[in-house]
Amino acid sequence: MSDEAATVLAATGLRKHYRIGALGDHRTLVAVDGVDLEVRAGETVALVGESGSGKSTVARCLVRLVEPTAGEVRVAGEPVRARPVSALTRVYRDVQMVFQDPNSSLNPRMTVRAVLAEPLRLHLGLGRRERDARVRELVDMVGLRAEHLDRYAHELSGGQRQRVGIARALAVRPRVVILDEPTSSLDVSVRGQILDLLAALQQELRIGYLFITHDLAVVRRVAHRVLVMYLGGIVEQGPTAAVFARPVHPYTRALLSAAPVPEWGVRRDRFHLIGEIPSPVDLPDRCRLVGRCPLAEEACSHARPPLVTVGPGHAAACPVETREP
Amino acid sequence: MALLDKQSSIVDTIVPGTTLRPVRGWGGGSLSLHVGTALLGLYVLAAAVSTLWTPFDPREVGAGEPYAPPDGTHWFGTDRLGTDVFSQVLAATRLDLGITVAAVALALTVGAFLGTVAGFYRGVADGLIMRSLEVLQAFPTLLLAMLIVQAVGPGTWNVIAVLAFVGLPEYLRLARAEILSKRTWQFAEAARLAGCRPWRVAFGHLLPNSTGPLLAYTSINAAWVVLVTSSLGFLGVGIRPGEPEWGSMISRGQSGITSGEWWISLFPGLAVLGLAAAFYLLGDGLTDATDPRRRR
Amino acid sequence: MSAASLRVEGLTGHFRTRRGEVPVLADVGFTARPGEVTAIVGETGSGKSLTALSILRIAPPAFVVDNGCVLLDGVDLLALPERRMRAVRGARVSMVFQDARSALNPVLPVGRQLADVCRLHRPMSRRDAERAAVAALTAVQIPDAARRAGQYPHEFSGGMAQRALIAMALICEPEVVIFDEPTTGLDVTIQAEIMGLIGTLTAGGLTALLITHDLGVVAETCAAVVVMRDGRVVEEASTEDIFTRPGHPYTVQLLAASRLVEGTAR
Repeated sequence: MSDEAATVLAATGLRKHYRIGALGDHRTLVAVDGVDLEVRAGETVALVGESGSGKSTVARCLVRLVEPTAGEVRVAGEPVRARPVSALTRVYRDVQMVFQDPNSSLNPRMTVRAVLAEPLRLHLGLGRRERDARVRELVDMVGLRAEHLDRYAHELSGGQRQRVGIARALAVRPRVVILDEPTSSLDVSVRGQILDLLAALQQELRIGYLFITHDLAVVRRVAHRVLVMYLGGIVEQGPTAAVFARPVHPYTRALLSAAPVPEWGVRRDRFHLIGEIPSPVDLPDRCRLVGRCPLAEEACSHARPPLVTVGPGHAAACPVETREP
Repeated sequence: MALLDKQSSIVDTIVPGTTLRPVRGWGGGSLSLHVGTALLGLYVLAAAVSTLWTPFDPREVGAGEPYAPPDGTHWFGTDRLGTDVFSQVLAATRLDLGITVAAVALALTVGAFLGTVAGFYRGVADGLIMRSLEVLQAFPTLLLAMLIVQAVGPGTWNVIAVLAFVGLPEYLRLARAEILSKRTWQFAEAARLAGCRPWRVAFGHLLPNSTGPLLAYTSINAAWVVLVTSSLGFLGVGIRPGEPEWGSMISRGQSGITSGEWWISLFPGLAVLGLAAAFYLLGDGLTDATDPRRRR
Repeated sequence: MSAASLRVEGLTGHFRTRRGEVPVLADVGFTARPGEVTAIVGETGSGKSLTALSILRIAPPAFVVDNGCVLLDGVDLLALPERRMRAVRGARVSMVFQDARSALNPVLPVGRQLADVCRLHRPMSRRDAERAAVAALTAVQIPDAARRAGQYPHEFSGGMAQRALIAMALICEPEVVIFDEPTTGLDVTIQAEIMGLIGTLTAGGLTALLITHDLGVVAETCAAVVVMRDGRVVEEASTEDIFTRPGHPYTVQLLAASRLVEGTAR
């Protein structure tokens, strides 16, 4: 990965709070709590977390499908938050998204052709003939055939629908694509094909991917770098190989040790967390894992621990594990 | 954001919801659908034919003997003034059916539009629209229709406008509910990213996918409009005197029911019944056709 | 909990649809032994869930069994009159469904739901049934079970609701429990806990049938595997054999697909 690869997506201090509760009983639900991330051209960064970690909210905040409460987002260097909503469409030429659910991410009343032509028409202003040509190209690129163009979403399989979703995202040749659990709803046999497709496209088009998932096996396969999220914050980040080989943060360790491996005779040491994930409402100002972490000490309850470097490009937010020996 | 329930797949996962999906070929509808359509077709035919020809002039006094029972010449008999009842019933189809279609179309269009605005944009617009609606719906519909018609004066277009006005709240609610539930679906988000401005997402993507319940309701609404139009005619409100209309015909023939001239009220009554039934059957058939659990 | 083996033989069935009969299961057969977890793996449309529902005879009415038998300790469940089948369902064979929170009645407290199941099969006082409910919740490692029994399903987290559902399946001490994708939608850490719980239960002599598409879970917890595809059983073997010496090409494919995703780190 060359150092000169341009940053195609960057976020600093991204925050999303929700005010909940009735009058006089205001509580704050922190969905995203100060997230920094960066994706370069041709690179895949994985955002890993379980349900309730806030990773899907991060994805939507980056493209302002959900308005962030605070923080800065830049796509290909251009600020995203500063714009009025009407100027937002321009940003969507550089950043696109592939959604999780192949059943609800395609308009049931539109043919594949119409779905793919729409961004070409609205973003690029292409004429009819150019659109037709480009649509054919796109369909070919994702491994579908011309006959699929006149089909409706419900006439395609899950894998095929996801391919259409990918083609739609690539139609405008964006610099970065955010993929929100693109293979979670697919059968195991189809998952590999879709991941292969995405990798090939990345090679060819030098796109950056922000890959959001809860599936560690997928992360290991596709991601150059990984960010581990828990309750709205990043607890560990670094090159995939490093994080998987030497996880530092207790949550990462618990996650990695819990994921089952489809191999016979694998015995892993389970790193156990106590209890269940707490509610994200009115979180106190301390390490988010306090209460579940077997290694928790007094220092962990003083303040939210910052990310501390533990290796080249590898950082973790645990005062206990990153202490100097 | 809303995730569809992943049902344990015994059969293909079917998208739950109220989307009228384009179906290739004739779906082969239910009996209700066929009978309803046929019956409605009959009325449309009657209305069309009556513009060109009726056996007798519906306004002609003394076309036959007064109070003549149905026979070979006058299929539905004649009324007090000797006017042919069949011709009147036929001619009245234009007015009753016409008012129904116009009022439903108007209520559907305006209701769906306002409902989409309310459901998509939320906030102040939604609040304003919904509160106004609640005030409107607090009044009993027939009474409201009568009062407004009395206030604005008689006339076909006035009646249409009033019936549309009184009928639109339901469309508005249905559209709003659909939009509210579908706005978090991923294809709405995807449309935004594909370059659609918010209004285009609302009207170009969400509304077309919400037509199911709206169309299903049109038939119930239409049946109601038929009955209310006739009721207004019966009460002598709204329709200009002299215009052939089933309700006013029923009213004129009232006394005949007990004194033996049953045909003057019966046939227009049957006409009203038939048209309302046609709409109800059509509605049943359409609901079956848009049932999301139906296997393709 | 006494042990019993469950054997399915030659199960064949079709769906009645508008377009005629659609065959969905063909000659499905396998054995589940006590004290171990037998996995039924397959992808969408393989018929694994339908098989499970057929064992309990709660498949959709459009599904018709053409042939086959389901032997519980030698007794054919498919041949029993409905009255006697009701005594089997829940008491001798029970099922844990996917998506616990929608499988529980949202308007009744969880403890009450468990108690109702208990009283359905055994005559006992309400007080005794409530005690049994709390005991069942404790057995599935729900902390503070007495308080939890008074709570409603929406107050339970996903993992806890799944445990409550398992408790409901176990409260009458059945011999066989069928788990239909019990950990779908649950986090990986919670999944590990639930699978650990299932392992503990089978160690106590239960016969467990686990329907899943996740081969990792199978490798960790299951002793035997039944691979299904398009309504047929393509392979049945011990877990070790399936992973080290897969026989059928489809099994090989399935393993490759699961592992493909498990590629080398970058």
